[in-house]
Order: sequence, then C-alpha cells, then structure tokens
Amino acid sequence: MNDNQLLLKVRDLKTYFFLEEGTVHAIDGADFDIRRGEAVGVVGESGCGKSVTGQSILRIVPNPGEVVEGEITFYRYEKRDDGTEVQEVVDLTALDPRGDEIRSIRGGEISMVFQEPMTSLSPVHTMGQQIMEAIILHQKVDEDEARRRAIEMLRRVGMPQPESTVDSYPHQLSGGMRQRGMIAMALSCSPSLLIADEPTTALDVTTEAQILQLMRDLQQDLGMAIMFITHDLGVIAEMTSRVVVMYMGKVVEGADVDTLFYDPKHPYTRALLNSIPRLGHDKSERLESIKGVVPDPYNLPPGCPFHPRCASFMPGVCNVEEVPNFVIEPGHTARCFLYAD
Amino acid sequence: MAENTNPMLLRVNNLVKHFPIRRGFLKTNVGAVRAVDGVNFHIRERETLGLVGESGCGKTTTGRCIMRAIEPTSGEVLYTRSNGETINLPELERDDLKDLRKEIQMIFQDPYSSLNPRMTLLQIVGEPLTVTKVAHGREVEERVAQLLRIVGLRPEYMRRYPHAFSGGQRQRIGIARALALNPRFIVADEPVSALDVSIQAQVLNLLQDLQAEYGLTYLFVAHDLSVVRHISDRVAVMYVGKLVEMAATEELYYTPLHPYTEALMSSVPKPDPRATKRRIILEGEVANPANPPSGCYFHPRCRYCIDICKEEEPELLEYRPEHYAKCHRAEELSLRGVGG
Repeated sequence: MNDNQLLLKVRDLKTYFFLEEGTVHAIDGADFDIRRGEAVGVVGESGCGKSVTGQSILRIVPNPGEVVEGEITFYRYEKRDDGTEVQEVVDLTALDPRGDEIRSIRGGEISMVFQEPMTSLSPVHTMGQQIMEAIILHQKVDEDEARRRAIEMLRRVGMPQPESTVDSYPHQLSGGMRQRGMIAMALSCSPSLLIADEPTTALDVTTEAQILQLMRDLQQDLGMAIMFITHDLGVIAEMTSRVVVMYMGKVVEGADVDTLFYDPKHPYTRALLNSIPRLGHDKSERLESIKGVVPDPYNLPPGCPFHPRCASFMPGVCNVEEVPNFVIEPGHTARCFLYAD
Repeated sequence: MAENTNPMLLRVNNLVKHFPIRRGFLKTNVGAVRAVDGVNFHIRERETLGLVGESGCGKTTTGRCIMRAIEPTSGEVLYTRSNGETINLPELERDDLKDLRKEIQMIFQDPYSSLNPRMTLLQIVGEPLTVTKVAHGREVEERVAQLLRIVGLRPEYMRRYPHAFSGGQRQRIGIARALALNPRFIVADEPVSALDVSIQAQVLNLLQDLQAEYGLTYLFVAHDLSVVRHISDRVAVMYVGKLVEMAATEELYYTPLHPYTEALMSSVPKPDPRATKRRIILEGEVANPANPPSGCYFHPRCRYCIDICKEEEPELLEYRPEHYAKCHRAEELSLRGVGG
C-alpha cells in the first residue's frame, strides 16, 4: 500500500447552523488532507468546530446544520481479483445525506467512535446485536457468521470473555469496556478511515492509556487512517503524525506533529501550547493564559477571529481582512498575516 | 519548595464514609460501598494539598465529608480556627456549622449546574453575606462589586444571570461566592476540569493569586495530574477509598514510592511528540469499593505484586521525611517518576 495515497481531501469546507438567533458558522473554511493509514489530529477548544468537521465528513450534521460550501473528496480503493487496485473518487458533499451511497460508506468505509459510550450505544440492545447490525448491513453474511465475527472483533479489542460479553447490555459494562465495544463496532467492517471524536475524554487516565494503546495497535495491524478529534494535546502528541489546529471554525495551522509542537507558527497554537501545565517540565510559577474569551459565535469579530486575544495583533490588518492560508513550507500552513510574503 | 512550618490547619484522622447498599422490599442492608475507608492527612496554613485519583476513588467524598456536605461515618476532622481553638468538625452541631462555614468554603466542578439559573450574580455572590447576616442592603452590593473585581469580572454585570457567561466566567462567579465571607480554607473540587485549556490556565492563575493575596489554604481535588502538580505544594494519591501515597509535589512526581502512583503518572499522555513512550499500561480495572480485593487493594493490577500483598493490607508509613506510602515493597522498589 502506498502511504502517500490520499484518502480524504477537505477543501474550503463550510458548515453553518441556521438558528433563530442567527447563523452559527461552525466550520468556516477548513482545509486538510488525510492519507491512507495516517493518524491525523484535529485539535481545538470547545466550540471550535472540530466535532462538526467529523460529522460533516459522515454527513450526519444534526439539524439545523448544513454543509453549505466546499468539497470533501473521499478516495475509495478497491482490490480487484487480479490484485490490482482501482481508485474511485466520491465527493461526499454532493451525496444525499439519506441516500444509499453515503449509507454504504458510513459505518462501512468511514466509521466513527464517539466520546460518551453510554449515550451513543443503544441501552436496549446487547453489544453483540449492535455490532452484528453493522456487519449484516455492510457485508453479505448470515446471522451466525455475523455473531462469530462480532465475538472475534470483541476479542481483538481486548474484551474479557468475548463469548459472554457479546450478550451483555452496555449498562453491564464499565466505561472502558463500553468504549472497547464501540471501537469493535466501528472496526467491524474494516473501515479505511476511523473518525475518533474525543474517544478517551470520558475515561480515567489508566483506562485511557489502555484504549490509546489499543487504537495504536489496531491502526498498525489494520492499516486504517484515524482522524483524532480531541482537545488534549497530550493525546495528539502521542497518537498522531500530522495535526490541524482549529479556532472558531477555521483551520488556523496545519503541520506534522513535531513541527507543530517545536516550531508552531500561529499565535493561537503558540498560546495554546504555553497554557498547558506539563508533567515532565519544571514547575513554573505561572501559566501563560490566553487573555479574553472565545468570541460569541453569533457575532464574530471581523478579519481574523483570534485578533482580539492575539499577542501579535496588527491593527488595521488583522481586524480588517479575511486571512488566507499561507504556506510556510511544504506541509506547514498557517492562517496568519505574520507569514504573508 | 521550602519546608512548610506553618501551623497546622486541618488534620484528618481515620476518616470513613460507607454508603449502605440496601436491597429488597424491606431495604435491608446487604453491604456497603466503602467510598472513603480510613483516610489520614494534614494540611498546614497557606498550603495547597492536591488530592488525586481516578473516578470512584473517594476523593470528592473526602472533600465533602470535611465540609460536612455529607456526614462521615466515623473519624476525626480536626480544624484549627483563626483564634487557635481546635475543633472536631464531625462532632459539631448543625447550628454551629453555619458559623464555621464562614471559614471553610467550597468551589464546585461544574460551573453550569452549581449556579442557580434564576438568580443574578448579585444574589448568587451576595447570598453567603445575607444568610450569615454579615452585610445588609447597600453593603452587599458594594461587597459583591468588590468580589467580582477580585475575580476579574466587571461589577456592572452583577444584575445579569449566569447563562450570559462562559464556562470560565461562571467558574469565576463560583470563586467569588466562595470568597464572599473571607474564608481561610477552600475545598476546590475539580475546579478546572470542565474548562478549556486556555481558560483553565486563567482560573489556575487566579487561584494562585488569591492564595498569595489572602493567605488561603486549599484542598485541591482533581484527577488531572499535570494540573495538580502545577498548583499543589503536597500531593496525596487515593485508590479505592484509601490514601496510597502522600509527599511533597516534586518528590512524589520524581521519586514515587507506590506502584499505583508510578502507573498513574506514566499513563498521562505527554504533550511532547519527542517524549519516550515507555508506558506502564495497567491491566484490568479499578477494584469495586463495595467488594474490594484482599490484602493490598491494588495487588490484582500491580506488576510488583508478591505473596504478602495478596494477604496482608500494608499500612501507610513514613518511608522518607514527610513521604508516606502504603506498600509492602516501598523500600526495595525503585520506581520511575515523571523524569524517567
């Protein structure tokens, strides 16, 4: 498999929510690529649009939200019987969100792991029934075979006694076990892209370590790409190879993980990195906090949405013009006028 | 950190809180959840003690028992008042508590559910003043304006309702309420865990400034080890209702004595892509506090477990000056801290 093959290309994505109080620009210009087998992190604070990005890709943006502009190109690779691969290109934004084609992709080729395993699993179906539903929907197998595969999948994600847990209900399992069940469900159809939306946020650190280890192993074994949506820079540093940083619906910086942590360019990324207390570093007296608060989504400041909080604010520039994406070096972009040529 | 020789503010001796499990029509007692099971620690004046552990370990219950927000089953909580008098909080009559709560206040985790949505900031922050009758009318307003200014909010906002504020601002409102009566001791229960990182830093800095300015003492309950390290002078680690280790912050983080502390610290994802990824992944799950294992509660998950750990419960002993650990093998193991 060629690692440089594109799997997903997002260009100028805009997803708006049309509410009575006004229009919320949840995503207002997101550009990024995901290659095959790659782990990409999407990081940002609450309300920055990172979860809606995942929902837009799967076309499950809740009402009254809508993808209004942009492209999400998904590259499907199919192995022929003679061993060659054929590539098919699908524009996900052009599909009917309730149509057959997106349904065959959703859960089959792109699947999702949600943050809260208690609210995103059905309380009235057993783990097995929920995993089998996905298998039967996407693969042509009978119920016995689906059950066999469900048990196999549960064993793969480290569920103890998979033959009996397959018949347990989510409330009978602990948080970590439920998240394992959800991962088993997401992986049951061998997707080429897994969207993990805060997969460990609701878990304790020792359980989080188990789940992250599991996801790392599965990614290597199954060769799938993972899009990690999280606010935790620690998870980003440990799990991903490329990162995009979002602020108020915009991708403000994109780089490989080492560059992002050691040579960040956008003032927001820098401020974010300086505001976290770190375990391995010497205890400094004060944390650098970002002044002010996230702006009101109904009433975004003109120009760069970060300018009211920015340490490098340039009056007359940042608060006037819309900021384009500047390429700093190949693979490293920042949406900031500091890097205008 | 310099050795803290300030006078003792709080000493907790053998604090126990068991929640009964009742079953059946007659609600007969069939057992107990040992949420807090014999906890000992002390806090000196102007000090911050961090209390860490995973969910269900009893850290919040410990904080609430000290406040008498819930009644402890047994044990002593000896609190030294500003006039030097030491009182045992669990023995105090309800009526005397109100007077004491001028000195001990609490900051809650969730700034959304801990503020009454039908009350204005003036009512929320002013309530402690009116309930304890320390201020009336105009005075309340003046004091609330002053408090809002202290926590970094504009006094003009005092007639607004909490919904008009962001999470970080709401947490500031909660802090202003806690400060209203000039307390000496604040139990902060996960005060920043519901906040975004950039806002977290603002609130942590505020708490540190307030401590320096007003000489406050904090019991800082949290699950985030990096936050606890940043703010605490000393740290206590809880596991299934018991303290397993307690020491000065840097000592605990660099040279832990308990295998659980070691595993906990190695589990935290480090925000550094160049960090070595030698993690200790704990097997299994946290023990059930209604039916804990024999011997040391941690032994089924411990990679250093030997026979004695399965049978005999270790005691919390002082292995180094001011460094306590509850492990049979504390002296022989050399465990990895955050540096390694």
